[in-house]
Order: sequence, then C-alpha cells, then structure tokens
Amino acid sequence: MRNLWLIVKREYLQRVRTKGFIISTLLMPALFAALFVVPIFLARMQTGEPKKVAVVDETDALYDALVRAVEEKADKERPQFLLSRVDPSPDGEALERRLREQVNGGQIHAYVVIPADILQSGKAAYHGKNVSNVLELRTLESTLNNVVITRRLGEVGMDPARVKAVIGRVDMRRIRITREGATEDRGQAFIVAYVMVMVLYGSLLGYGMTIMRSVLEEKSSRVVEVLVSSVRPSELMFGKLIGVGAVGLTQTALWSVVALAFSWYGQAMASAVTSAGMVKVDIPAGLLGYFVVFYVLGFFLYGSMYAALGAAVNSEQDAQQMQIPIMSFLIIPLVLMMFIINNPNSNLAVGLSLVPFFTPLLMFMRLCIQPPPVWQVLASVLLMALTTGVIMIGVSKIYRVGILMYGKRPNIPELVRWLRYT
Amino acid sequence: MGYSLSVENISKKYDDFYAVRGLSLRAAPGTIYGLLGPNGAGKTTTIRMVMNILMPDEGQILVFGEPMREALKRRIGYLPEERGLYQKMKVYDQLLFLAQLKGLTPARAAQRLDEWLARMQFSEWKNHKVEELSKGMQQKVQFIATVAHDPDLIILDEPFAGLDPINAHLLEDIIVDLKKQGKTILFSTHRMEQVERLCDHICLVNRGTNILEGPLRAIKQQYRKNTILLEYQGSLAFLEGDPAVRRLDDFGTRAEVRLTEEADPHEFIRAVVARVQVYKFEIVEPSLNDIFIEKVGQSHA
Repeated sequence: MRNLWLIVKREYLQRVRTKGFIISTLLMPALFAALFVVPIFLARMQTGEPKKVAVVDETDALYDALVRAVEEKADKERPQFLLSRVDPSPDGEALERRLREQVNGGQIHAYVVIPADILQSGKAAYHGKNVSNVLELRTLESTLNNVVITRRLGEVGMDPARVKAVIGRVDMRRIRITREGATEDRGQAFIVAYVMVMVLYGSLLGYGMTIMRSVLEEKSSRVVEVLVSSVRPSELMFGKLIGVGAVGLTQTALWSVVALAFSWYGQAMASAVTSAGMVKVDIPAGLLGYFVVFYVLGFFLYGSMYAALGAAVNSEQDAQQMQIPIMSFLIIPLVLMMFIINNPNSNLAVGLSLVPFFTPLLMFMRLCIQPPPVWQVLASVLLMALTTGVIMIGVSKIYRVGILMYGKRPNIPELVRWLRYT
Repeated sequence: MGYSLSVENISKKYDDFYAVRGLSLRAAPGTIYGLLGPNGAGKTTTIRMVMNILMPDEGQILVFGEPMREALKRRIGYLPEERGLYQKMKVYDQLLFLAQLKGLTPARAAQRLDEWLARMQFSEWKNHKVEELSKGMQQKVQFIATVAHDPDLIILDEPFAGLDPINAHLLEDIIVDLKKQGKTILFSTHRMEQVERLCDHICLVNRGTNILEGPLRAIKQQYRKNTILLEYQGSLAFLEGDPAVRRLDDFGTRAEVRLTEEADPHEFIRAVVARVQVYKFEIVEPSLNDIFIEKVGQSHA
C-alpha cells in the first residue's frame, strides 16, 4: 500500500506541475470566457457609441415615428442609432452620390431610404459599408417594420394596441418533472447534458491516452525495469491509474468551478444587457455525483485498457492504430447522442446503456435528460464494476508481460498468449 | 552462514524456446559473483526471475534462505542492463522516490543519498534534470539508486558499460568495498579482465544453461598451465611439427606457445633452452577469455 501511495503521489505531482497541465487547465476557462463573456462584453461596448444613420423619408410621414421607435427600443443611456433626417431631393441620383460620399468619408455610418410607396410595397433599403452586421440590421429592420405596420393599421382604422393584444404569441413554458420536484427549463438541461457528456468523453479519452503515453514512456526509457525491481507490476499500474485519474478529476473540478463562476457572470451580464429574465443554469448535485461515479468507473475501464495498450506496443505510431477499437467504444455513444436525447427510454437506449463499455457515456446521458429507473442505474454501475474488475485482471497480466517486451508489435493471438504467462 | 542467493535448477520457457534451462548458482555473503555469457544466453532472464519480475516454470530461487517474495526486494539492489530513469525528473527527487520505494523513510533516504552523492562526487548535479546529464553521469545516478537503501544483495547487470576509466575505477573500488562490508554482489559482464580482477566466483552461461560454475581460482587451476611466454634470440623453426605444440605465435624475439594438454611445460622449456638463447620465460594461466571462448565454442559444437 505504501508503494502504491508513493507511485500515486509521484504520478500526480509530476503531472500537475507540468506546463501542459497548467496551460490546458487555464485554457479551457479562457475559451469559455471567449465564448460566453466576451461577446456580451463586446455587445455592451458596441452600444456605447450610437451610430449615425441618415434617413431619406420619401413618404415624409414616417421619420418621427421611426425616431420614437428607435428611442423606445434602445437602452435609454446608450441609444444604438442616432438618426438624422435628410430631405428627399428631386434629383435622387445627386442625393445618393452625396450620401455615399458621407458614408465613405465617415460622417455617417449608413443611410436608409424609405420609398414613398413603402406602405404598399413593403420595401426599403439600407446603404452602408458593412451590410453583414446582422444584429444591427435586424434591429433597424424590425423597428421600421413595426412603424410601417402601425401606420397601415391606422389607415384601416384599427387600434394597434388592440391588434397587438389579439395576435399576441403563446409562450409555452417547459417544466421538467423529476423525482425531487419540478423546475422550469429553458433548454439548459440539454446544454448541461451536452457539456457534461462532452467533458466526460474528453476526459476519458484524453486521460486514457495520457496513461498510455505514460506507460510507453516508462517502457521506452526503461525506467520500468528499475520500478518493478521495487514494486509489483500491478502496483505500478494501479498507482498510475489512480494518479492520472486524480489529475483528471482535479482538472474537471477546477473547470467546473471556473465554468460556474463564468456562467454566473455571463448570466448576470446577459440579463443586464437583454433585460431578459435570468436563466438559472444550475448543475444538480446528484448529477455531479453521477459524473464522478461514471468518470471513476469509466476511467478505470478505459484507463486500464490504455495501460495494456501502452505496455504492448513500442511506439506511439503502433499505439495509434491499435487504439481504434478502444476509441470506437467511446465514439459510438456520441453518435447516438441525439437519438438518446429524443428517446431516452427506448429499448435500444436502455439496452446499450447497460453494456458496460457504453455505460459511462450513455447512462450518464440518460441521467441528464430523463432519470431512468433506479434499478437500471444500479444494474449498469454493477455490471460496469464487474467488467472493469475482470478487464483489469486480464490487463494487468498483459501489462506485466508487455512492459518488459521489446521488439515487434504483438498481434492479438500473442496478447492472448500473454494472458497465460505467469 | 548460508547463501544470500541460491538458484536451484530453474527453467523458463517461452512457447517452444527455453530462455533458461536447468540453471543453478549460489552466491555467499561477502563475495563477488560473476555471471558471464554471450548475448542472449539467458542472463537477464535469470536476473529477472531472481527479482521476482518473472516466475520460473521449474526450480526454485532462495534469497537469504527464503523463497523469493515481494518483501525481499527491499534487501536487493538491482542495476538493470538497460539504464532507466525518468528523464524529466530531477536527480535528487528521482533518487528520493526510488529509495522510498525500497522502504526508506524520507529522512533516512535523504541522509543516505547525501552520503552517496558525495561519495560518487555527484552532489553538484543533484538538482539537474536527468535528461541534462551524459550517459556516464546517468549511470552514476542509477548506481546510487541501486545501493542507496543499503541492500544485502546487489545485482549489477553490466555495471561498467559506458563509464570512463576514472569512473570505472571508482566503481570498482566501491564494489570491493561493498564486498568487504559483507554484501553479496552478483554482476554480469563481458569484460573478462574485470572478472579476473574482481570476482571470487563465476558462472558461465550459454544458451540458458550454466556450462561452468565455481570459484574462479579453482576453475583456472582446473585448466592446466600450458601456455608459455618466451623472450629469446635465435630461431624457433625447430618447433614446427613438434607434437607437444598446439599453437605457436612467433613474433621474432617474443613468442607465445600453447602446448597440448598432455605435454609437460618443464620438459618443453628445457628443450627450448638447449636450442636458443632464452632471456625470459613464463608459464602462464589460461586467461578467462580463453576459457570462455573454448567453453562456449565446445557447447556450440
């Protein structure tokens, strides 16, 4: 036990101190920040400076309504657009030339032409240097749209407020019923499931390969022979599994903390900007518990297979080819993800999630979407624990023989023969 | 006092190939035991079985009089043929880790390491990463890792490979010193002159079997003294065709004559002195190298 602990400690400390670990641990939250926080932050910055837009109102009736609408829509402190009126000219071409020059010269951001027949044709035009700013264009377009509709309603003698009330949309809330009660969901269950499954997948695959590389490194640097003169090969393998696995858990835990902090910040910012109701993304504690259970079981299952692979081969190139079967066990659940989300209790979903190699990802996916019956969860965990135990016995034999075997890459019959060596 | 290591008739088979077949050896405390043999003879397999890394299919291994088990590894120091250290770890951290694996407490390990680093004249390198060191320097680190936990049985697989003469000499002194402290040293090598200088006992292995085992003195005596070195003036042409001469290497004023087993060296010298002017003659033992080549050659025949 003492040796096992020494190996775990070395493996953990050596890894946690590497630049690679520190960088990847910091990089993920940085990406998170880039994806969620920066756009919101930028959006706020953007609105800070109102854009000057000239309006050529050929109807001579809509400009005032448009200005009012823009003001109503905008954040009071930071209007998005600053409209200015340009009188239509009989010489349309000369006017447009002048406005184009102003756009090019930077005096105005863009100009909008509202033709005289807009109420009938429903057509207007935006002229600007940048016509890819979708958000900005849409804001302007929908504002003008509202103004035109209001005017049309007035012409046929209808009260816009009443019409609005009549055609008001129906909003169906989504309430997720769980054993613990009910919570309102605005799609965050899907996002949480998706992110957690991807993190689980990435950790199992990434840290599995880390194990493989680490075994391969000890083998090719021949330090393994020194180690097995002090400890049992099985102690070495378990020590490595536990050490690397703990590194993976540490990283995931750090990410979770940072991600929660950022998503809280992001939500706060988002609600400030959009004044939409706050979307509460909380990861249920139960789900985090299951994450740890399936990570640990999955890690021992896949990590030990990767350890055997690292012991069996002599170079990373050989390993790349031979890891395809292991990897495909991890990829299949991802391929099935959409199907599982739509049919979490179908026979196929239930059956496959009980197959130990698929359990960590598939059962976890189901737990995220719609909690399956308790017996299924327990059965899957039990089956997985048993399978992992059996695999580990076999794998530790392959490992024991493999770490001291140099030369050509073994084929499957040879690996099977290794199982019989004592 | 019993043997530190006794290997009784062990065999190890891989599929149809015997890596080791019926090999035996016994090493007593306070002796240096040489394990010799050509490449692929089964030395490393034997050592791995002693280290409990591989299990023999037949036979038994007793270490300090007990069947080999995991706990006894702490009393053994092993320097493998292929040196292995974590390249990215610092020398001191690495030695501390390996010494603790052998059961030392961190404090005791630190104390022993300081002593050994000083003795190997290596203290100034202790905070360097292994990958920054030359091969010979890594070898010194590896040697410290082998002996830091004060093992009673020290197994050295090719310990001198890659060392410069100064460090090789340092290592020889240390090995002799360890022997004087009553340690048992088992080492394998190809360098015959070192075996002759250091070993008390040898075991010659070929094709997984020991073809010669015993105290070095006895083995050399067993081979008759039948090689004669001469310094002379005159002509040795008369020796051509002499039935007592097996081989003659004549260098003009110096010659090495190998006699047949039956010939009497004293009679031969009298005959030579009668014919040419002899300044110096010497009856020499066969070198271990000769014995090695002869025995391996025989076993292949």
